[in-house]
Amino acid sequence: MQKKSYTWRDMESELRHSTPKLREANPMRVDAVCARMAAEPPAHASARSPALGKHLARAAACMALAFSLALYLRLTSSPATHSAELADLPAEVASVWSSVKAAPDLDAQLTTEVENLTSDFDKLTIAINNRALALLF
Amino acid sequence: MRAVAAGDAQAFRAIAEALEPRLDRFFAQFGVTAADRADLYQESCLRLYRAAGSYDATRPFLPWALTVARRVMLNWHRALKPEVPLEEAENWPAPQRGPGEAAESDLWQFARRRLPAESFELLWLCYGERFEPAEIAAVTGRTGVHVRVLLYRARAALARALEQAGETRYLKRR
Repeated sequence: MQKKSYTWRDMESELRHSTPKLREANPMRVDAVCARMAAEPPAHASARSPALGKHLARAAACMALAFSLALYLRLTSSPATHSAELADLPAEVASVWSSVKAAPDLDAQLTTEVENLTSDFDKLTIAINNRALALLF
Repeated sequence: MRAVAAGDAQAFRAIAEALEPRLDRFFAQFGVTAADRADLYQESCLRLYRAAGSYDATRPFLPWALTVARRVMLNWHRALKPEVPLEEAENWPAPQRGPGEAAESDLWQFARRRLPAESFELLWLCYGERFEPAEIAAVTGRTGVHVRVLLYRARAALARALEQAGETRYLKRR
């Protein structure tokens, strides 16, 4: 086997040493570039640092994700739940439930309904008692 | 670059002066002609000037500048790529070496002829520009580990090419 006449270190050293040397800057080219820069609008630094920009982008992405998730859950689960609830209720109760839901002042509507129900239960209790006494006597 | 970003256009002159020989050497290594090197230098400076506001002062300047210049050069190479209809491709002449390319005067020319452009670029950034692997990774858009692996392969490929060519004249002892 033929022995190598050089090592990788020789090769790396030669690559470093044979790199073309840097010459002086060409003033004509520099002047041409500067003349072109003068015609450009001034370069302004952005008001925020790159790191802050990254944080803002992440926050915006999180908010967009959360909003999308909330919208998705509302669109998929809410109508099904409500329709299932309404389907189990009698028609009269469902209409009352709809009017209650549509009412702007929900507390007042519910208070009225509670009072009506209490009154109905009172009347029902009196009627049952009267009937029961009628059976006994 | 902070002064440039603050709106001081004159501050860019010092940057342009410092960059001119370095970008010229960089473009020359990748086969850009002298006339085109002036255009690429102007275009690179223009992009650097426009992007001054996005420069992160905590990072080294030169790798950032070379990243921009490299993209400008790649776009130039893409625009130059000849498009030949498939029917005419068989009769298309093979690329000829220019008169100045007849001899390989140093190891860099030898490497440019024998290695793929990707390997040559990594060797140049490592030994020509003296960049660290992390800086090369930033310039070429790779990870540091990937750059180390590719550099190892590029060195191995160059050593293999030297062996096959029986070349020892480039490796003179210093």
